[in-house]
This record gives sequence, structure tokens and C-alpha cells, in this order.
Amino acid sequence: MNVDLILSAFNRHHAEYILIGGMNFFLVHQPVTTFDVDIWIEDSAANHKAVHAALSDVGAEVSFSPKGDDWRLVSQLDGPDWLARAPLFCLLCPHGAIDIFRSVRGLEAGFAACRAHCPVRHTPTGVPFRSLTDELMVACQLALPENERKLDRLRLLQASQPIQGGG
Amino acid sequence: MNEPIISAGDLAAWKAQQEANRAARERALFPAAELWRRQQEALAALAGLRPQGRQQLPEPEGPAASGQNAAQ
Repeated sequence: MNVDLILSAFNRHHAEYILIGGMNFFLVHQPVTTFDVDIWIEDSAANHKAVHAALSDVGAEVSFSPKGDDWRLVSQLDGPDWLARAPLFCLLCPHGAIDIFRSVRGLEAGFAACRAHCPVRHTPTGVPFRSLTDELMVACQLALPENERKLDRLRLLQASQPIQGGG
Repeated sequence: MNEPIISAGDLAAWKAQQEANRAARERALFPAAELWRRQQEALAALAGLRPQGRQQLPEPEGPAASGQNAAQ
């Protein structure tokens, strides 16, 4: 997986996104087993265009069929309107698997409100990316059913939270 | 062509379906051993490049070894 190439494509096309999920945790805290890059995008027509361009650049392909028998390169689709067809898509590209989220459970405040709290961080090789905060990563985990939560991840995140209400 | 694919409330089923379809596609494109090697190399590269220094990689788990999606 080459997360640098994926994030660079999003940056190059000025896509509004926040890195979430296991890869964000991996880059901010410690290695965890994760096999895709989870990206929360601003859900607007203008941003869909930028995201479509970025996904085209990295050679991503997508399937809309329940059977998964209609994989097509994003670059060969008519335009970005496909992004409005479902709340999330699991894509594949030569650099790794990419999950695109238009909304995220636990982050119902919405993209703009969350983005304001999310810092720009850098991968080890210096590629900038907007990164979901620890507090919001906790909110995502707590929104999951208990048996789906990543407990090790949750414990570390909660331990890193600032103490609330202190002087 | 661009009508919504799923209705509200079907998100969990849609996500599971998308992940399963992608895992199948990935296995078809990359033989399992190659896929596992690529994943481990990616983990090692990222771990080794972290500014805090090299850290021990996680042990392979069942879903990882079988090539299933393990994110989120």
C-alpha cells in the first residue's frame, strides 16, 4: 500500500477530505493492521469533482453491482455524479484499497464542524493530510456496536485525551 | 445511471457487500501470497519510517491472513 500516493492525489486536486480509520491511527499513534485508506470527504458537488479526479489519477476502480461483477475505472465514468449514489464506496487501486465516506457514524456534527478541529499532519515522508483528532476517533469507536469496537485502539485514544474540567 | 443505489437503513448491508466484493476483486488481481507480502511490506515500510522510530509490527491475524478487509 502506498498511502503517500493516494493522499498526494487528493491534495493535488484540492479535495476536501479527512483521513479517518486505521490508517489515520497508524500514522498518528502506532502500527495497526489495516488494509485500506479510509477517507471522509466533504459532501458537495464541487468536492465530488475533485475527489473523482483524484481517484481517476490513482487508477481506482469501483463496483456498483451487488455481485461485484461490474468493476470499472473511475476515470472511465462519465463524471463525479456516481459519488452521490451511495453513502460510501470501497474502491481498489494499484496503490491500495480506498474507502470513501460521505458521512461517518459518530461524527454527525458534519464535515465542516469536524474539519475545524482536525489538524493537518504529515506522513513520515512529508505528505500533508488532514487528520481526524483523537477525540473524534473515540467518538467513531463509541458509535460502533460494542462487539465491533477496536478496544486496544480505544484504550490508547482515551488515555491520550486531555482531562476535562481541570483548572 | 446516477440514481441512488441504496435506501436509508441499508448502509450496513451495502458496506459489507462493497467490502466483500473488493476483497474478491483483490484476490483475483493478486494471488494471496503476493497480497500478504505486499501488505506486510507496506506495514514494515510505514513503521520503519515513523519519526518516533521503528516499532514492532502487529502479529498477523486471521482476517489479515485471509486477505479480508480489516479497517474501521
